[in-house]
Amino acid sequence: MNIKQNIWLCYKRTNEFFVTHEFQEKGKVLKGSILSILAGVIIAGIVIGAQNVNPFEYFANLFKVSLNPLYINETLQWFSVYTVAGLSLAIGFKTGLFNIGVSGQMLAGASISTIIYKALIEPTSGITGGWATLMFIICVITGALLATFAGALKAFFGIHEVVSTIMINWIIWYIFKFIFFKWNNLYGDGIGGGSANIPENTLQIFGSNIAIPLMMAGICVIIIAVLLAKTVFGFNLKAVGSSPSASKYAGINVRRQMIQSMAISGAIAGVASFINMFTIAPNISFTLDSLPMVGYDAIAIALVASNSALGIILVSCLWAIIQSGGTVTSSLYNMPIQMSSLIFGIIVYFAAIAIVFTKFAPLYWFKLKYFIKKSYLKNNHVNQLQTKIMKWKISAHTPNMNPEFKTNYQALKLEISQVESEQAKPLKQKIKEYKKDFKADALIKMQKYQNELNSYKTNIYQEEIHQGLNGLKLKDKKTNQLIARQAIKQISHLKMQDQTAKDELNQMCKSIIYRKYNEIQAAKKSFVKQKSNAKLWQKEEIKNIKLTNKKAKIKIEFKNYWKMYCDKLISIFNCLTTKNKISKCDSTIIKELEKEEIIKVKYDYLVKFKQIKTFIKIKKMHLDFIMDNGQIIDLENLQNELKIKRNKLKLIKNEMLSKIKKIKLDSIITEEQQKTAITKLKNEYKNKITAIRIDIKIDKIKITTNRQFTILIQQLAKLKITKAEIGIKIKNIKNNQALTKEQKHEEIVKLKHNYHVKINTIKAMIKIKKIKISTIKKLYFLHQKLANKFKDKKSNNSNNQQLIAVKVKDKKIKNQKSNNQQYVAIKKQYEVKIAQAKQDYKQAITSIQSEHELIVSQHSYLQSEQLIAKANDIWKKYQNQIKEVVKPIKSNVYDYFEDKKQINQYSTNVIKLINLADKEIKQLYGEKIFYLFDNKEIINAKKKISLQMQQAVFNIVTKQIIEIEKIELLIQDLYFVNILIDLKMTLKEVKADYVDQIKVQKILANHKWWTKPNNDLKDKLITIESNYIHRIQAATKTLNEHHLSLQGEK
Amino acid sequence: MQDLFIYGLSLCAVLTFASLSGLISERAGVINIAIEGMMTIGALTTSILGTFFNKDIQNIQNETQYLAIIVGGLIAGVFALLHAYPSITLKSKQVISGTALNILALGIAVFLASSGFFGTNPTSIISHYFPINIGSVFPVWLLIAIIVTIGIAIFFKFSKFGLRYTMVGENPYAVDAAGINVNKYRYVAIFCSGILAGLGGGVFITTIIGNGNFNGSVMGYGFLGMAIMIFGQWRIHYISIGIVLFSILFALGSRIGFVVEELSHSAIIFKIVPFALTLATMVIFKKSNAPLAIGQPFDKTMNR
Repeated sequence: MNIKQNIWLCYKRTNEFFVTHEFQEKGKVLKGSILSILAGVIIAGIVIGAQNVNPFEYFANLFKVSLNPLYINETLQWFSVYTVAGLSLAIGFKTGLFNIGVSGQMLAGASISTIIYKALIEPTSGITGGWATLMFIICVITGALLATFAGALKAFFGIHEVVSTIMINWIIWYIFKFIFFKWNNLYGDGIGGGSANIPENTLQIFGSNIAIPLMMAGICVIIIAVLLAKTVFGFNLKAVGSSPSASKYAGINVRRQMIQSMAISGAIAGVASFINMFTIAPNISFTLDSLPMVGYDAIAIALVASNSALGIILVSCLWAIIQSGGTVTSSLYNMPIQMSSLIFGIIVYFAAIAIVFTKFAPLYWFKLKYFIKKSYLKNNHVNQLQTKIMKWKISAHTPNMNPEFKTNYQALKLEISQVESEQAKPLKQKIKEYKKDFKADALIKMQKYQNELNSYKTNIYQEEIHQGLNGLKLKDKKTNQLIARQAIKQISHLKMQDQTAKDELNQMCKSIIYRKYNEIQAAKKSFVKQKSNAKLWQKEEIKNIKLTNKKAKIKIEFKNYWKMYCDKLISIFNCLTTKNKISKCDSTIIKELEKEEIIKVKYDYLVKFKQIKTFIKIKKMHLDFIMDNGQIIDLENLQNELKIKRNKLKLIKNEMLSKIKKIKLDSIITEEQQKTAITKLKNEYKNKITAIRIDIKIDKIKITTNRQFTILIQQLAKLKITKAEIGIKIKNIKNNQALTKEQKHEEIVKLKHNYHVKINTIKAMIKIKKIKISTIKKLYFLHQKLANKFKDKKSNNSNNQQLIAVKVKDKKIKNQKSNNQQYVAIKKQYEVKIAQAKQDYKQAITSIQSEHELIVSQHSYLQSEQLIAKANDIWKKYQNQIKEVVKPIKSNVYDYFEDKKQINQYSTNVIKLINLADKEIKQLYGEKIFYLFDNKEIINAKKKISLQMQQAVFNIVTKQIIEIEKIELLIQDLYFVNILIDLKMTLKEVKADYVDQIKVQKILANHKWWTKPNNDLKDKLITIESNYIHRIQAATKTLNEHHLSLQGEK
Repeated sequence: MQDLFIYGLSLCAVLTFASLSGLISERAGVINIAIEGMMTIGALTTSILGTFFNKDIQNIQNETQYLAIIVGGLIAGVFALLHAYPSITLKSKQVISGTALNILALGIAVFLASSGFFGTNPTSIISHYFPINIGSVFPVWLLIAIIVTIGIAIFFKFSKFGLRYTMVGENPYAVDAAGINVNKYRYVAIFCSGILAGLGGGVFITTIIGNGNFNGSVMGYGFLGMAIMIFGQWRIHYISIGIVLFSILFALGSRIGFVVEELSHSAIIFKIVPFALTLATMVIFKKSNAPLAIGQPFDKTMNR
């Protein structure tokens, strides 16, 4: 759009705005407030004029004084205070709340901050920037809190905020009055009945003490204006103010809005109190019971300005001028000082009845008058109507003025005078009724003529306006306006369309960007996943390579060893030959010696040779084993794998649990759906978990085999070494010439015997190990088979049957060609074979199952061993506890016996005492028989003795009671101990039983454990184990219960 | 001690007039928070008349206070019509016009009190009135107040006009349908309310303030009267209980210091209690017994 177009649009819009209803309303309000101010000023002028002062001069002087450099500061201070306080009220009015409590809120804020000033700031440093901000915050918070309280009362209890704030005002007034009277020296001014005086010019900046207040006021105005005009919050506030019920139906939280608006109002009142405290009212006097006037003046300002921010600024400007200049100008003319409050009062009252002024339209009246007076006819008609109205008005009030009424009335009265007194009564009533009717009639007529006149007047006005040149002009104007309005509408519509298109585009862009972003994210994720996968693959590859490397290494080692030993052998042979040569060469040496030496050397080398061979054999075995299994059985590797698999298991379980949780958390899905989803998940994961578990088991078996295998190898090595040793020793003995043949033989026999034992033991060990390995291998294969067989079971079955069927068919064809008998025989044979096959199959299945059960039973056996160990541990614990329990019981029993002795002693003592008393009494009686009449001493003695006796008896009895209680407790304890001992016995018995049985079964099982699975044996074992486990569980349960009960008793 | 009793009893009288003023206005459905202002006007008139009657300080005619107070009441009644006009005829917000009236009254009173037009004192109007007591303790005005209270109670309970009057506050449309001029009743009610408030102000001048010294305000007793009215839930029997309770508290708050000197400052706490109590009653009686049509200007076109 061009600049020109813009200007045109702007112009038209402003024109349009001036025609709108909103503007007209605002104009009415403006008119009302201006007129009320004018009226107030006029009445004030009359009051001033009544005191022989020229009011114009007075007002001129007022402005002069207040804008004088001497007083301008004060004026501006007042201005800022009034602006902020007025805003505080205005925001309340906007929400339909009348915050009369502004004065109380201001009072509270100011008082608290002066207390803080007096108590903390004055003795230390004086007001610094930090202290000032603290005081500011306190003012704002106290104001906001008080107002919020009132707002909450309004919102939740429906208490009118005017009433509640008035009450709160006075409560605050008396609270602070109390504080400033009671602790005047601490918090007050020190004189009595006032708050501490805040020093002047504390808010000075750049040499002026008005900058900060003005700035604050400006900021407040801007904030409030923006809040109300531009924000949703402000709109909500205004909506609540204009119609709470409508805004409630529009979805606005009315209560919250009320409380919020009150809080804002209170906070702004706090700001006002801060400014007020530092500028106009540095201290508050509490001597007279009247609240500070600033809050009430603010009400006036907000009312007169009709809650608009600009209006508040203007009105508070006027108020500030009157307030600051009023006293001085009044005293100039020797007038009462409090002129300003009077003027305020008058203006406020007129603002309250500003509705009257809104109806005030002088232009319209003048125009109408002119139109009527212009034409004679119209004027005449209007006059006629007016006279009629007057006539009926008069006759309605005083009917006697109307001649018609007069004649009728007089006629009726005449009738009364003619008739006798008894008949006059109904006539009198008739007269009354007639009078009433006439009055009502007159009123109705008057109303009618009034309406006629009004309609006539409006008609005249309309006619005149629409007639002639003026009428044409108006028409033209209206048509122009219509066109302009339409144009504006279209433009706005276009703009809206443009905007919506833009918005759509923006949204599209956003969605595309969002999608792209998501895609990128997904790609990143997949990339990361691939990366991790690649890493894993790399690791595995590296492992594989390492494995192959290891294999190669071992091969190389083996080769090296081989080479080394070959070399060594060669060297040994060389040595041998050389030595032989040397010996042959030395002819001087005796041949026997030579021979001996040769033998020795040979022997030595033989031994060495054998050793080397055995070593090589072991290595070969190792290699073979490795080759057989196709992989290196590296313990560490295997263990690591195990760990990894276990971790996998855990992870999978966790995943399952988390998924289940997710499903449970999904509130959208119903419970049944959840359950089904969970079961599905569980099934899926069950398969996974079982697979992994089988893997883990296989790994475990592998590890055990590995261990066993290493042990086997060691044992083999030992065997070989011992054999070699035997050979050496025998040869030594044989070579030993010092010994006789018999001795030699004996020694050899001894050695052989010794070594035989050793070898046998080692062989036995090796056998055991081999068996173990074989069993474990079997286990391993069984596990694998189990997995495979269960899978292949059905398929196998079907395959077999099919094969058989095919064969049978073939045979049938052949047999048809040959004999029928043969065919039958063959058929029978085949049937038998089929049956056999079926049986075989069944047997295989049963064997597999039995094998599986055996494995299970072995596991359970291991578990039972663990259980026994556990039970033993528990038993030991209980033994200790029982000991601990029994110890004090024993000691208590001993104590009890000692106490019994003591009781006996006491009883003897008591008897002694009684005897003594008897004796004393007797003595008294015997010696002082003369003083029988005044036998006080006797009585005293008797009393003493009886008291002693009572005490002794009482002591004994109490002790006995305590002892009895103790014994009862002991008995209870002993009962438990007995139970425990019984349990212990049963446990022992069970254990012994079980051990015996197991021994027997083990002996049996050692023979036929894996070869032929004996069902009876299995059953027995299982029953024994189950029995044992049951009994142990029962025993442990009872033990636990008793233990708990014992603890409870204790 | 006697001083305390006199103070308390005269306070009773003042508060009775103030709260009855509020009651009469609000029973007719017009919120009256201008009791303070009307009382101020009554007090102002009484004290001004007092200065005319007691020009000779040596020869104080204390009996003239009856006349002065009654005239004050009438003028306050006329002043109350300033509240009636916007709140009944113009149908503007009654709370706002009441507040405006308060400010106006305060402005007039402060202006005149500090003008020095009346009496010898330039900062306040001194009427030299002192309280008239039956016996030594019982103020005459309390007796009058009690009579007025009983009269109003009877009026409300037993007279046809009283019932109509309450109906104007409860359901003006029903009353209007019965052919009764609602606005007339309301005007009369506010006029009477103004009279009572003016009487209260006058009694305040003659009894509570020593020497009849008026300095422009009635120290918030108008608001206290409003508080009593709310505390009494717009029912005359509860209001009378509230009057007694609140005047005891206020008397203790201002006069216990003369009896027990240590309490002279802490006694102010007693003055907090009435307002706090009123707030509490408002919170407790959530559905207060206020007239249903309170605060709603009567508009014939609004047929509910």
